[in-house]
Amino acid sequence: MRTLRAYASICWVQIRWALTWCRCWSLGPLVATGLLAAAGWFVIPEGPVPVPAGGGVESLLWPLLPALVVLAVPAVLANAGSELELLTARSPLMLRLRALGCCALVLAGVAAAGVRFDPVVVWRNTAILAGVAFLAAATLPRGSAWQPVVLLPLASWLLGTDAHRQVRPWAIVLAPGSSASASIAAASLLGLGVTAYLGAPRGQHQS
Amino acid sequence: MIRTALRRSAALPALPVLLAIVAAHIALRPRLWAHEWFWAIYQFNFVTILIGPLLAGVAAWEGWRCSAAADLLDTGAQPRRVAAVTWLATLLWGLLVFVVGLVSVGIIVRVAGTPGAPPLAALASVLPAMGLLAAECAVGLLIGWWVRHVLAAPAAAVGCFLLSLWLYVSGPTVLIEVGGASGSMIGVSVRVGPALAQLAYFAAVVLLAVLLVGRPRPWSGTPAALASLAPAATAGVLVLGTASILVAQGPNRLQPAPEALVCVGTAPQVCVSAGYVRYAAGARAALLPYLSRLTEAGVPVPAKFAQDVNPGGLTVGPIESTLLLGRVDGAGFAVINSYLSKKCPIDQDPSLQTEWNGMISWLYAGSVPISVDDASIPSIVRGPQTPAQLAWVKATMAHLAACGR
Repeated sequence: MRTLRAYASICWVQIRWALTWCRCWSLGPLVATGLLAAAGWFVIPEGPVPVPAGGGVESLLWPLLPALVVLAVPAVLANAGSELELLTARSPLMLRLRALGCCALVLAGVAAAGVRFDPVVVWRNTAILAGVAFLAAATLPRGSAWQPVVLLPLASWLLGTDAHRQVRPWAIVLAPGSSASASIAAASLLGLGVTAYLGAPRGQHQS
Repeated sequence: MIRTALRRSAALPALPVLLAIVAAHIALRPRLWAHEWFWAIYQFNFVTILIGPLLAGVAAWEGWRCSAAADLLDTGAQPRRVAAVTWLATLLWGLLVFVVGLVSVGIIVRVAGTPGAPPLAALASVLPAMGLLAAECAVGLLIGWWVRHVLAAPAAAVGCFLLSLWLYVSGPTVLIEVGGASGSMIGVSVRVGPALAQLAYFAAVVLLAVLLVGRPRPWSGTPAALASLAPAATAGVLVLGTASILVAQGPNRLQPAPEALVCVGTAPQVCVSAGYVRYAAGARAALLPYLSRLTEAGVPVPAKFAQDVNPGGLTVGPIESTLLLGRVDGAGFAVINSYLSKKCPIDQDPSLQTEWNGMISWLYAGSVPISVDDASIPSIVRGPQTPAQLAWVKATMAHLAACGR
């Protein structure tokens, strides 16, 4: 009985420890936005949607859905990499790997929920936006890190299709699944973002 | 205090992003507007759909910062004052970006050779756009103040964008539409009533946000929070009232307006606004072959083409800015458009469509290749020119001209 109690108290401490990390890293909002985005796959229109004041131009909206969850990523990374890094005796690399792991899990869950759509585009766009978020979290002030993640899908949708309904080369999130250049850009952005985030100096992400 | 707020504003690091958005809006959309002052300015106002959500996000970040510092400032009305000054600083940076974009558009219009200065009515059309930015900033600040979370900023930006999009798609669009036109705006101007109602609506939204920001959150139940509810409720009624007035004005923000046109040549006379005068002779030359073909068939042709008329004028035909700017393959369509009224239900009547296709095919025969479904072209049009064919043309044009009248 005593042993059982000891195990229970250890488990309770572990759970509280995990919950503390969840709170510190804003994992609650990350999961909440993840659920919202996952639900979004079932209601978002499959076909092109008219672009306001676009003169008849239409563009797909669903490839931008992963942005909804990626928006929360800079906040998680900034929290994981700010005061905690300065206070803890642990290696910042381990802390950052854990934060990246948490983000990757949620993002993968959201991407997996998008089975209705072209999986190449869904996973590729998740990688592009995650790469941008990691890069922004590593290089921009905390107050501005969310802006590229908002700006990229917003500008791509409103300006990324020309009058002949052709996707402009820079609007990689709207490129079809067969686009090799978009896939290469996705892999490069993700790699660059992860490297930049893991390699940033200690305490880089303070507000 | 405002100087400090401007220097420390979160909008300051966002300036490069905001300027890049404005540059993208100008550079990545067609610039056919460069020959019309009003169209140029009205189209530029559409940039609010891009910078508005971003400013709302920046303001939400500021709101979160103010909210987090409120306990330290909580003496007298300090939090409210700080929040109001912060809102003003964010808005001023946003307006600076807007004005920089507006000046750039003015330079493009001048470089394109458009004479004169922007008319006062065109300049006044930027006021609702600025009002929208002020309202979005205020709402963003309030969201940041209430939510008190680092995610308030991106959430406010995305929420603002999705709401704008939803209003654009489902309406009422007047609550969000302050500009944006994909076609020429010769012969139209902004209706004063809806523009004033929009300004009142945006001002009411700002007032509501300012009354609620800097105070405890209403659901906290503290006496101070409850005391703020009465003025906020009054402002809320004001928001609903102005929104109702705005919606009651109807969905159309534009109205026909007289336009000073310059006419070039005779038979036909081509009348265009000042920015297109140097293109008028070229457009007239493009129209002549098609008019000659119709005259040969005995069809009376329009004596005049003007930018400010609707299709179906018979004696006066419409002329598109794209034709003036060099898309001469549209000249035959401009000629046919002068006969066909907008009220003609051509989309629902296959026989009318066959006649239309036949006329277009006959008019363009031997000149510019056009894409018309061969199966829908009457057999009489396909062969060489015969008296019977000319008689068919005359009868068909008379039939098309009578449609919808």
